Amino acid sequence: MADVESPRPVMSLKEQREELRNGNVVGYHCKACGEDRFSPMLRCPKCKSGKVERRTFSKTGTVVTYTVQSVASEQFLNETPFAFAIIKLDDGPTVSGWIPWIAKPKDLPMGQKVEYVASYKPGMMFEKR
Amino acid sequence: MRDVCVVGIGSTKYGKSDLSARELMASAAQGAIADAGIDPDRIASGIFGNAFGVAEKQGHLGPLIMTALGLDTKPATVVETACASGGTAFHHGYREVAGGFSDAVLIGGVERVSMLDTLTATTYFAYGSDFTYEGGTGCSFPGLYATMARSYFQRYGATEQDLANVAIKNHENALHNPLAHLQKRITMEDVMGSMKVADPLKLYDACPFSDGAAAAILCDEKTAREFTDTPIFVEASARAGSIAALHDRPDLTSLPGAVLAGQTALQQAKLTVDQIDFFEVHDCFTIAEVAASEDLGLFKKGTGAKAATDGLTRIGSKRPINPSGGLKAKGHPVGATGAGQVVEVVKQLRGEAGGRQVENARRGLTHNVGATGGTVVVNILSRRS
Ligand SMILES: CC(C)(COP(=O)(O)OP(=O)(O)OC[C@H]1O[C@@H](n2cnc3c(N)ncnc32)[C@H](O)[C@@H]1OP(=O)(O)O)[C@@H](O)C(=O)NCCC(=O)NCCS
Ligand SMILES: [Zn+2]
Repeated sequence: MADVESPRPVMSLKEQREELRNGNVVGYHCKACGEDRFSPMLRCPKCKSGKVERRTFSKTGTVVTYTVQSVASEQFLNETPFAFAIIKLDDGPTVSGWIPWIAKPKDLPMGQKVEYVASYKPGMMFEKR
Repeated sequence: MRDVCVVGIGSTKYGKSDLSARELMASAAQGAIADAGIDPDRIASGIFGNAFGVAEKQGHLGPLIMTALGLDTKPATVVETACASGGTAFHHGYREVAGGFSDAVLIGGVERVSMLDTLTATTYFAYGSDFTYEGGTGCSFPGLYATMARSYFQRYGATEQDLANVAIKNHENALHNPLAHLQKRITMEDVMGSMKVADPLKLYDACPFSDGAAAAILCDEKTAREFTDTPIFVEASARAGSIAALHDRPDLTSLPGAVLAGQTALQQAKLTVDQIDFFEVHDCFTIAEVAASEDLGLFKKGTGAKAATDGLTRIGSKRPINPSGGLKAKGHPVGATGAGQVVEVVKQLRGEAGGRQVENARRGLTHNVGATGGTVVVNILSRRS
């Protein structure tokens, strides 16, 4: 194995961010078992196959669980209160996202339908549908 | 593998300190050396947990601590596994002694964050998450556990009041712990009326930002017997991991690494959970204590919150959890916490825990979680007599 370059991920985090900025939700897909992931995967955690490709998922999904953030970190200081949510994409994996304008739990029922919207902030922003 | 014993323990008071991390760690270490009665020059190496050393603009903390102890030629390592750093340091010290590489090792953990304001500390702590997806998407550390709490409530019908009972109990226990950060009795009204941090979690569901350090001296049994006739034995030291990002986990009411590390530790010790007399678990948030109590098999899944409300986790009950006051009230100097849990278990097993003593404590378990379970360390200690 002299001087053979190690394999790169099929998509870098930088490329994923660029896709998101253009409004595309792109992640990783296991060709062997069909597992979808949004976080980097070089080997499938489910079936342990190395046959991973990049795939575009749907922008719509459902809120699985969430919190309303009142005390935020620096980048989100001016957004409080907002929701940080775990969202199951209709066609794709479960992802982390944030939803602006959520001040109290009444503003966001569990199971709320949401849609990804490209934003200037890091991370995925969703809006209620 | 050799049997490993704890022969000395030391801890600073937890809370707000004007000492730097190196001074805090050296102070706890000196306490442990004095407690053991060991000649410090017999210590082969130091292993220390520390998570946010860069907050003090200082890397490579190990040699600074060793130099302060007059052990400048002895090697030291700082390990980082977020909130499990102290437990991980203990685990590696255990391996070094059990494997026969050293006869006496100094382990510990330290954190100093009180010079940071709330905003800066919240930002630093979020680095312990999968920051690309979690912290960087606005989630704070309390926010991660809050999403778990809401999942738990939805699945099992538990309430904010159930979680409040965890906090009330831990604050009660800490009243008897002179080294605890928060020594203040709290009521249901206090908890329910406290500031929302990350709904449904409030100020009193959260551990505070604490400074502090804890240390222990680990020896093989033969060396240990030079110093004491009643060494405390490490019956098990196990670790496991979980997927870091919550969104990639199928179940948010349990930490897979905690289930695994707990089972492995019980197998190593050849014990059942019923043979353990008390538990120091990682209650960085009230929901975390509930999840821990189920992951370790103390209560059936979905019943841990109700068990807290029914008083089944108090000192004097069948399953005493966090007699020290836990992270909630004893405090959570992140890198120190896992080492501090060991210090508490040793005190309990020696019968030196004063007003919070668990009667006839023969075996105790520590459960130390990094972030949301990416790292989990479970140790079982006993007095074998
Ligand atoms: C809840 C939290 C945001 C409070 O922030 P803070 O900067 O400590 O707040 P303040 O300094 O303004 O404290 C206000 C008061 O509440 C007290 N207090 C702070 N945190 C407390 C807590 N968790 N429980 C009870 N009282 C607390 C303080 O002692 C202070 O009391 P005082 O005014 O009588 O001195 C912060 O403690 C927190 O985020 N905790 C979680 C830390 C964490 O995530 N750790 C990693 C987990 S694995
Ligand atoms: Zn697969």
